[in-house]
Amino acid sequence: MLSLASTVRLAAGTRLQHDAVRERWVLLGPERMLIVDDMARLILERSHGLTIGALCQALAAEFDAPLATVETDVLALFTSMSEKGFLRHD
Amino acid sequence: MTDALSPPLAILLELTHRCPLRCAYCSNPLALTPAADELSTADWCAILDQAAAQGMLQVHFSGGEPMARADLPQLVAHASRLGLYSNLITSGVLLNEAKLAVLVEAGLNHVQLSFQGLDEAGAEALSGFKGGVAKKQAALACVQAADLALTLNFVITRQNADQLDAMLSYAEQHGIARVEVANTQYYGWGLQNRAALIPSEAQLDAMSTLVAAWRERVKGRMVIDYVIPDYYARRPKACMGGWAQRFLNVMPDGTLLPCHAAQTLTHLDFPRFPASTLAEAWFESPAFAAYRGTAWMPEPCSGCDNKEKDWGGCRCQALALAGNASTLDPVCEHSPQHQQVVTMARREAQLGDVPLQLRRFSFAVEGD
Ligand code: SF4
Ligand code: SF4
Repeated sequence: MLSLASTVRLAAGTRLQHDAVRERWVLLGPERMLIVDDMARLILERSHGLTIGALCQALAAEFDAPLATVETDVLALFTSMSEKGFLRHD
Repeated sequence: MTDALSPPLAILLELTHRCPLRCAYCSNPLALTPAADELSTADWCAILDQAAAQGMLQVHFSGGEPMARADLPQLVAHASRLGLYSNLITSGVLLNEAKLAVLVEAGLNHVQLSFQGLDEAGAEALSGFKGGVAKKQAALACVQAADLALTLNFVITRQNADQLDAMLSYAEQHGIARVEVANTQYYGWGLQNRAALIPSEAQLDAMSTLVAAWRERVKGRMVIDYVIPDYYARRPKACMGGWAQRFLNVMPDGTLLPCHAAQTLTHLDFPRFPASTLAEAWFESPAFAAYRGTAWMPEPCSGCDNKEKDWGGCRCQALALAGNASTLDPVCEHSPQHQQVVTMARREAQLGDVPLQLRRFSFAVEGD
């Protein structure tokens, strides 16, 4: 289970790539692809080396958003990405 | 609709039809391409150049056994330079530490390794290859030692369907992040051998229950993709995400297809590289346009709510089962042939031990 104390990283064989022709970003993995919007991409890029809790605090401060909402959204995003196999967590 | 047509997302290169295995379920065509007709290294590199320029993101190196091509590392390196995500689809029997190191160095992103089960006798019966399981297990160890992303592909037939739990346990014990439970599809040699391979409905139900339970248990650690034979289903699968909508397939001789089985549609004139570029094939060829979207659809598909979900199912299956590629996939419950298909599948699944016809190169058949 993913929690605020977890850290996430891209699963082996997964990468974030710019799809120049279609002007968007995608997560590419074996036989699968996920389109990521700007916010999801930013969250992924910022997640490096931080616990999800610390990441959410930083995001809440930066975007002046309620921490509880940010936590719910980020956990939902990362849970869905890890169930699809794009993310691993500790 | 054609105005909005975007380029394919992925390309599958059948580098060769040569393979040390002779799987009875192989989806390569019955008329395998001889080595002499395979494209050259320069041709494959040019195909990769065009794929990247067109905006494709992933390349699957497949076959046959792609490792039977000595230039595989060169092709992988070329794909990486172009920023393409590369996947090697292999039986693993030609893989060793040294060969893998070269591929890793070339920038390979992912390996998909297939197993026909975990017992040697069963795997040999299906693949005509002795000692394959041991070789595959060694290949798996090499890939893991190199820290390369890996998918295990378990090929399921009625011979090994009852071992699925053991296969999934094996994957879990080895810490595999992604598993495909791939029931054989009935194309090419697999279609020839369908009566010997097709699982029963009871086996299929047991597998589905087992996969659901496993998915729940390994959530977040191991992803399980599950491919079923749709003969028992009520609705067909969206074959390849819709005819000529996402994937491009290249045969060893450069024939360009919307899916690997499409060469059975002999009424269509498929373009061939280098006479045709990938873009010409995709955007301009009548063969690719033939079943794209919904305009070609007969009743009942044209008035069906599902038409943009399953795109009328698989054209090759329509041809194989209904004798007409331009009709709806006969596994659909709205097809007049539906009941016939289910009855046939049930009957074949009860036939027990039917001799397997292992694949062979038709041009080398003399004295076989
Ligand atoms: S299905 Fe078997 S025979 Fe066919 S290419 Fe794959 S490993 Fe070779
Ligand atoms: S009628 Fe055609 S579109 Fe509708 S479910 Fe059947 S195959 Fe799919």
